[in-house]
Amino acid sequence: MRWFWLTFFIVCPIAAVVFCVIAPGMDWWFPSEAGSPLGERIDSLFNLILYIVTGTFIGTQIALVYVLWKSSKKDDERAWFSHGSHNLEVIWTIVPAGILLFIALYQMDVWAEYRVVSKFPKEARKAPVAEVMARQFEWRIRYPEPGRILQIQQQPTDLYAVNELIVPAAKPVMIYLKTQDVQHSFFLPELRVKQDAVPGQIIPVWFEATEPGEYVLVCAELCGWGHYKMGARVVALAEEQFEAAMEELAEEQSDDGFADAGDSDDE
Amino acid sequence: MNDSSIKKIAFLVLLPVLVIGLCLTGAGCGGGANAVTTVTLKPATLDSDSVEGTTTGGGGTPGGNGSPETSGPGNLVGRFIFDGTAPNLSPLVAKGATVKDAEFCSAEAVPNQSLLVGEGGGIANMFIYLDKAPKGFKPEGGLSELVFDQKNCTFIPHGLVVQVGQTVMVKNGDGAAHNTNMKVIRNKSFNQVVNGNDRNGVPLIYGKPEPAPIKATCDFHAWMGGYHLVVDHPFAACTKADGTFEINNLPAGEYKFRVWHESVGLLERSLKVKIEAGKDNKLEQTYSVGSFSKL
Amino acid sequence: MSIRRKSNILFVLACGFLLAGCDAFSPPDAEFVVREETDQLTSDVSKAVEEELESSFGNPHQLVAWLKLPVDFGGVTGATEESTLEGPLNKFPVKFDPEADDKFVAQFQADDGGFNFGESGARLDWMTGEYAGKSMHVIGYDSESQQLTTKEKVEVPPAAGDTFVLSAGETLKSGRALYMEHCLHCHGVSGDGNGPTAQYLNPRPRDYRLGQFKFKATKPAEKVRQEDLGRVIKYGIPGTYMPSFLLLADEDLHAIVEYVRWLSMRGELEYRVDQELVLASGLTNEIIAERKSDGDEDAEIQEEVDEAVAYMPTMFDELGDQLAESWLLAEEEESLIVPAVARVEDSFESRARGRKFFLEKCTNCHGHKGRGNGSMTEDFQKDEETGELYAEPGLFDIWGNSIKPRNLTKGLYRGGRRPVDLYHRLYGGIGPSKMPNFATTDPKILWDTVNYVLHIPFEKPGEYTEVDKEYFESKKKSGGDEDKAAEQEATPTESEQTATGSTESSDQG
Repeated sequence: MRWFWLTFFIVCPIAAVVFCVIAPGMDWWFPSEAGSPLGERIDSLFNLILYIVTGTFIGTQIALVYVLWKSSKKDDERAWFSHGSHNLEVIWTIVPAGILLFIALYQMDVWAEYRVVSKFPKEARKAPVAEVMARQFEWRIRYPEPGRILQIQQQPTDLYAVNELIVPAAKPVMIYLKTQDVQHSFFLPELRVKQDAVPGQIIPVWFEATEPGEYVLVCAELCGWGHYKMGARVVALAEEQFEAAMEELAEEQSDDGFADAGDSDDE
Repeated sequence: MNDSSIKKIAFLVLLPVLVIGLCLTGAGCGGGANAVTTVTLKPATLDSDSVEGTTTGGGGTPGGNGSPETSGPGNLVGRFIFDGTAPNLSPLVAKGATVKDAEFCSAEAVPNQSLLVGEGGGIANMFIYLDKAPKGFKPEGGLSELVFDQKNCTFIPHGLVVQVGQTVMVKNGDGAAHNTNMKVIRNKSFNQVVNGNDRNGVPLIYGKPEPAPIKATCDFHAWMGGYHLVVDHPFAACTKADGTFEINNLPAGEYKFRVWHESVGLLERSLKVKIEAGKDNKLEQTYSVGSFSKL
Repeated sequence: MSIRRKSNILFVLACGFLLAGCDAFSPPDAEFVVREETDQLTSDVSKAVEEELESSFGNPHQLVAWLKLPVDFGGVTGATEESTLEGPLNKFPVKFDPEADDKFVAQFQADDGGFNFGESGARLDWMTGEYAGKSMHVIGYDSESQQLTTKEKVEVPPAAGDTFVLSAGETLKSGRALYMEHCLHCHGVSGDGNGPTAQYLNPRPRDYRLGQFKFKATKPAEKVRQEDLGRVIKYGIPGTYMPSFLLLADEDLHAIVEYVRWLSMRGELEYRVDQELVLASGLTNEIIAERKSDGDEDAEIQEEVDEAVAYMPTMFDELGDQLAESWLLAEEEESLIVPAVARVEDSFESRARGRKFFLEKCTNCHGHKGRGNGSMTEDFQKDEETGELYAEPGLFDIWGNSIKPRNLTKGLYRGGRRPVDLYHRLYGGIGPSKMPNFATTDPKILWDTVNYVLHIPFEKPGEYTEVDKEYFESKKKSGGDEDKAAEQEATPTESEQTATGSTESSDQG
């Protein structure tokens, strides 16, 4: 029985570490490399914490196994009565507290850059690209007319889309996140962006897609029976393509069905 | 509580929970969107050994009505009489009432025509008709134009018999626009705005007979109501104010007529009438208040 | 018995229950719902209707593709070519229809360039010729000689030009699977708008079974187009629970649209059959009981019942033809609403004209400020089916749901917010929810009204006071004075005149 438990407590930690190491190679890890500069920094923070925690984990597991092994020997030795050790207690309070304090301070600037509005990149803050209104179970987007600044209030010239957010690539962009009904969460896994949408609030969220491409947008706050299928896509385009896409959207929005009478009036 | 009784209680509670849990898990497997589907094809045309039908535009059962003989046509002349005191129905819109387009709609009171009994007890707006054309009937064409007018926000006439293919000009004698909406069953919908004082009218042509008289309404003035009986033969009539009607040139033979009134629906589903050639066959039916019990 | 023995027995029982549960407690099979009216028919007739429906449409697990209906059931179509081979043989030279060629390759070509038809082969249904109505199974294809190899051998080769469909029903099957995944929980198995989720939703999901849809680009009396349905699925309906399925692949969207149309045809066919049997033939239990009590003979009634049952296939055939015709007509050019003139430039003058049109025609339902609180929302309307007044005041749609006219101040346009969409709503009306059509109105006025409506959410208080005054004065001159109440409502109150913005930061379009 003794060897069973000893093996158990040795094998599990070893397996955990092994899996963790091989996971990225086996595609069991993050969905992709972070697609945004801030995302890369978040990933590196994650890795840092992972290393610290792994070290601690290995250390404590070894200690546990040693204690198990040592104390499970059939011995007639009397138990050693201890009054506790003040020094030991101080050490194992101060050291972890120090580590945690280090982590807290080390990540502060990433947090601030991500969450504190005054630290958002200025160009993104000045010209939000869209208002994203989450509702059960889709994402409704409102863009300003090309050449105008997005206003909080709807404007007669605004452009509307649903489930497809078009943003320029390789530069920071900001959206206003709102929700029409319940809490949702604006989650771009590949860009490492996640922000809850709270009813009654307009929350600015910024991100930068390094490469042009399509990114997945999913809802990360259980919002009802359709939560699982509340997906959309974020399309990051190079600058001129972005402008062209906005022009196309504006044209479609003002379609009067007469210009191309005879063709399909769709798309 | 000793050890073994704790164990027993644990068993009695946990095991059923486990069993039920496993059952439900099993129940969730399979079925649903993953079930395998098969598709068989059904050919577009019917094979020849099904019943042939000569339905004229409608469905229901095939064949024609009655058993016409070859001895020549006769006429059906008749009257529907109301037994008892006619109900005194208050107008749908009182004179001078505040309604939409009151200038036209409440200049005069709009009468409630759902049960109109004329002098001598004749029931007006009663439809008598054959539900299907007589066997071997061939439509002749040359149908005249009918007028369906709207004046003082009332349909004139209240009941109209229309043949398939016949043009009905829907006119408007009021200064305000009306939106004439026919509550069709088999035909294509007719829902048209007829502008104020349109004396030319909007044409309305039915392509199929309707199984029962259909209602004419106005989407702008909800109290307005009238009825069209759409048939694919000329053997239908709507009684006049005195309750009389006439159906001419009906081939001699035995027929089953339907009698319909708006306040109750079908009064007679198969009223047997024998038509003799060369004469005016008389038909007089009396209905008392009890027959109109729905009113 | 010891604890150990008991626990062993219980464990065995648990396994037994597990296996039984897989069977006994599995979710009930999906079934098409039978209309109330069908149930009310006398039993022989009702059974005949259900049987005929089953043979024409099948059930959700065994679908029947009725080729009469203008639905893309899927499959690769083609015809045989002249064959010099002699029987018994199982190789036929074929040529696929042009559009079907890519489908064939996409569906059956394996990575190594060969063709894979699955273990039991792909089903081949012959449409015309010697083997019309029969099926074979294709197990191979030689791209050089363009010959199909079938599992079955035949004595007489099919003649040149015999048409076939390979793996028919693919689109229908795929549509069904997708519908069950995405749409079923609201719209129900039969498309009756009564799925498990429907009871919590207002407005209720669409009931396809009357064959009518609200948001279409076709003329008032016509059916909806595939494209219109596609738009609704793709972009959703803002202000309702219909979400956007933008991320669906194009072929998936097409399959769902076809399945929805198929469900609609099935529902409408049952509806029309019921109408015929009830209104024309009167074969319900109620009417027959009445007739019997009136003295009609049993034998006569039974004869009619038997006649109706025997006639059922032909009736389905005829009604099927009519349905097919009307759905096909909706796809024609002539059914599409195309504005006769380009959109009138959006200006205050245009909107003023639109406002006048609005005051004349729209305020009864939409209210004088476009808030959807017109007088008809307070009157009791009559139910056309029963002839009785509805229990609640206000408007009702053809499905019997209580509805409200659109609140135009919100800027939420369910059928789309492009100018052409609003034009379609005005020109075509919205039949099912009793919005009248203005097909006969001057298109320029319609555009003016579109401009006015699009601007309502951004209206400033008092913007149209002069216009309203002008309108009411001109009406007074022509004698109408009942609009006093209307006039008062249209005039902005003091508090409104001092307010700044007119819209709350409202829901998005």
